[in-house]
Amino acid sequence: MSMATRLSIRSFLTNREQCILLLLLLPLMHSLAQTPVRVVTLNELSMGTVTAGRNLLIRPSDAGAAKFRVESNRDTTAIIRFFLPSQCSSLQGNDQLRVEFTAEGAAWSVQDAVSGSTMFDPRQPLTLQLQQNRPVYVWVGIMAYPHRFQQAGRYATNITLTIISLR
Amino acid sequence: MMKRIFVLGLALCAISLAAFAQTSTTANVTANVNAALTITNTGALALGNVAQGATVTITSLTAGAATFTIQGAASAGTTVTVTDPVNLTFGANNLPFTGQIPRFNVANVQATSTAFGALTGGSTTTSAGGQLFLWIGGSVTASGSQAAGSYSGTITVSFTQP
Repeated sequence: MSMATRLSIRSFLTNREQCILLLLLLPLMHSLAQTPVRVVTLNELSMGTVTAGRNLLIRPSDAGAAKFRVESNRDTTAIIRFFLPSQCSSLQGNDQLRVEFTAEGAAWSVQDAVSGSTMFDPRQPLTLQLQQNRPVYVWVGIMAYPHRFQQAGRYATNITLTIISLR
Repeated sequence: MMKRIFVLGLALCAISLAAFAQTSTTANVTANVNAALTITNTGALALGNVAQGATVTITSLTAGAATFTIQGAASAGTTVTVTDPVNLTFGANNLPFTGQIPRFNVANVQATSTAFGALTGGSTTTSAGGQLFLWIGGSVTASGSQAAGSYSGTITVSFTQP
C-alpha cells in the first residue's frame, strides 16, 4: 500500500473503522503467507509405445498413469479439478494424437497404493475432505486413439491438477 | 459515507477471497508412436505346369515370383523372416518345394532389387515412406510318378521393426 493511498484512506476512515479494517484484513494476510494445501506430481503420465491404428488405454492402476500427492496442513474441504488435453502434439511434425479421459479414468486413496482406491471421473470436479498432514494420492490414466496413418515419433502434452481449499 | 462503504466492501471481498486457497501442478503426458505395421501379399508364386520328372524354378528375380509389400515406420530397420513350405500338396500327394533367396527393394522395381543373405530373409531399411517390397521365388521337382493335380502351399512372411 503506497503512502498516498494510506493517507487517502486515513482521510475518510475514522480510527475505529481503520482498526476494524485492519482486523478484517488479518486473515487475508495470514492466508497469503500460508497456503494450506499442496499438490505434488509424483509420476508423469507415460503411454509408452503406441502403434498407429491401435487404441491404447492406460488405467489409473497401470504403471504409466500419472500420480499426484495432495496434502494439507489442516483439516479442510478441497476441490480437485483437472485441466485435461484432447490431444498430444508430435514433437517432430505437425500430427496430433487424439486422447480422451474416461469416466473411470482416475482414482484416489489415502493409501499410497492404487489397489483399493476409489475411482472417479477426472472430467468432473472432485470434493475431498483433507485431514491435517494426511496425504491423498491421485492417479490418472488416459485413452489414446492413434489413427491408421499416425505419424511415427514422440508426442507430448500435459495435464494440470488444481486444488481449491475451502476454509 | 459512500467511500467508507466502498472501502469496507473491498475489505470484505478480500476476506471472502481469503476463504479459498488454490494451488496446482502439472504432469507431462508422453507417447511414442510407431507407424502401423502391415504386410500384404500382392502376388502369388506361380510355378505353372510341371511335367513328371521335371523341375520348374521361378527365381526371386523373375516374373512370377511371389510379391509382398511391407508398410511400416519410415526409414526404419526392418527384419524380414520368410518360412517356405517343405512341400506343395494336392490331397495326400506332396510336391517337394525349395525356396529361393528372397529379394527386397524400397521401390517397387524387381529388376533392381537386392537379395537377402539367406532363404529365411534378413534385415534392411524401409523407404522414407515406410515401404519395402519383397520378391520370393521357388522351385519344385515332380517325380516320375507324380500324381497330376493342382498343388499349393503357403509361404509365410513376417517382419519386425524396433
